[in-house]
Amino acid sequence: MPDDLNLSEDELLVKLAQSVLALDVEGTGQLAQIVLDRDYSVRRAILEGLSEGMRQVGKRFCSHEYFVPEVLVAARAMYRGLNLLKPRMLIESGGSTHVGRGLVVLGVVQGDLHDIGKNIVKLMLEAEGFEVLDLGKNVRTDIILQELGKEAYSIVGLSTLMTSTLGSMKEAVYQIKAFHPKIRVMVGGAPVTDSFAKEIGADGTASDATGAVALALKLAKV
Amino acid sequence: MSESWDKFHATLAGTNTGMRAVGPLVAADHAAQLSNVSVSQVVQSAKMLIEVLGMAHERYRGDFLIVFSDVAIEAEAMGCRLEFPLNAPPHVIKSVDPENLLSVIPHLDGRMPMMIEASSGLVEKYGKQIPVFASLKDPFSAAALACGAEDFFTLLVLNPQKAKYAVDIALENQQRYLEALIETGAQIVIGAPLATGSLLGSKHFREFAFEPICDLIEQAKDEGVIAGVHSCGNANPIVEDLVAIPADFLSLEEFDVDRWKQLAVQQRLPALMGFFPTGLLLTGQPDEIEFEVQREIGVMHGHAHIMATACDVPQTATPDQVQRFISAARVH
Repeated sequence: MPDDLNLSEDELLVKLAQSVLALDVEGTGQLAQIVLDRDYSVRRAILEGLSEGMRQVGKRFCSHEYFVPEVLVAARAMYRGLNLLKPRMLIESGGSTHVGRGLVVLGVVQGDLHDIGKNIVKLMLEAEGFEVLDLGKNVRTDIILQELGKEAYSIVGLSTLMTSTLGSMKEAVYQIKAFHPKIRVMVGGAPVTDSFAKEIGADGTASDATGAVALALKLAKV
Repeated sequence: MSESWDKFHATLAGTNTGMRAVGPLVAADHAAQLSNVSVSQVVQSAKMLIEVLGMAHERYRGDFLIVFSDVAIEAEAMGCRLEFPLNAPPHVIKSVDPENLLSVIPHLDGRMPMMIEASSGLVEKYGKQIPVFASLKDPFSAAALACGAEDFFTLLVLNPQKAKYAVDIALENQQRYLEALIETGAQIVIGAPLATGSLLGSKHFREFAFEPICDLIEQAKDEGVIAGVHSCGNANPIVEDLVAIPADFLSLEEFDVDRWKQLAVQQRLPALMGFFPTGLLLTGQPDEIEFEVQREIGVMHGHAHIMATACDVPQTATPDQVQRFISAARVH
């Protein structure tokens, strides 16, 4: 049990962030429970505690102090807390947990099943306040187009780890731009270069998850 | 020995003969596309794999050939269930817990017998003209692919002993598989799709992936074959570790050339295979392809370099684009 009995709300939020950053899954859950027990603001706990912790994880990922294993465990910690806090947040906010940055569709392009990178981008986007529809991996373009017709999405994020599926990415960007010219498309993954992104008509690319969030924030403002 | 073999030997020996080995990394999916057959047919038949990889080689005339089907060969042999889409490489649909990974008999399990047969057939057909490389996964990647990558990566932090156990099982399996592939007369390339700098970083790479790769490379070199390592993604976080592997060559998808050159001042490095960006094979104009080839040859001047694509040729890349890359590399 964390040593938190005398912590103020602000101190508890700092502890929550630190707990995510320290990859402490159990500790994060315990701290989230204290937020509930003391009737502190759940919204603040999510944004200033859990999300802030994940943002700091993102910075360490960007500076190569953390790599994918650490990010995945930090995500487990964040979700341990989030799953406890979310039900009350939904009650407080009347059904939504996002803070209005915009709606994003994410997916790994058809033919590729490597989704670690996409999952990390999803975590970081959610931590930043975007609402994300995750279509998973090996996603056909017609499925993306179908989803884009249902809600007011502002950004589509496509990823691929394999060079062999760069062709699928090119085709997906082409189709999205043809049917939904106002929607911004960002692309990423190991073989995706700036020039490739430009050539296929994407609105931008980033080399890591932190860059992807910065790009999404930029695209959401346009 | 043929000209291609001479180029390879000269490059690996660090002898500047003015001749550079050149080749695209063609896997089963692009080869299937070239031959107008489905990927699922090719990745389940030694005969088809021999035929399409052979046809791709005869079309592009690279100085080497890699016998590569897909990344799920080892995972399947260790007990995973796969799905085989018609026109994409197979993938794992049911992974295995580390404690339940199977001990593999390469001549019996999964599609390993198919890969051994394909390697044997391609060596017989082309082995005198060019080095034919059989490919296998590094033990970390094999274990991670079999256990489910995300779950496996979290184990590195939450239960490292369990992760090490899985890597040990995979290493034993890969040692037997390597032996069987070497018996076909093939040279060896160890592919590391998940033991990468961008995913693991140096600490985890050192702890879980480095030694098993070295073990396999040493085993291959003890048998007198050429042995290289292909590292996917950004190699920069682990480049010092990679050059410490006793491989004959490193095939790198992305790395800092200046850093490579700094390291070359301090120590003798393995030859470098790469690093033509494969996206250019889809979108590049002829002059862009030519420029990039020329640039890479320029920056690697004076270093042991095999001119190759940075990773697999995209499935839908047109043969003309691949041919442009080869022709440009031959001219320069």
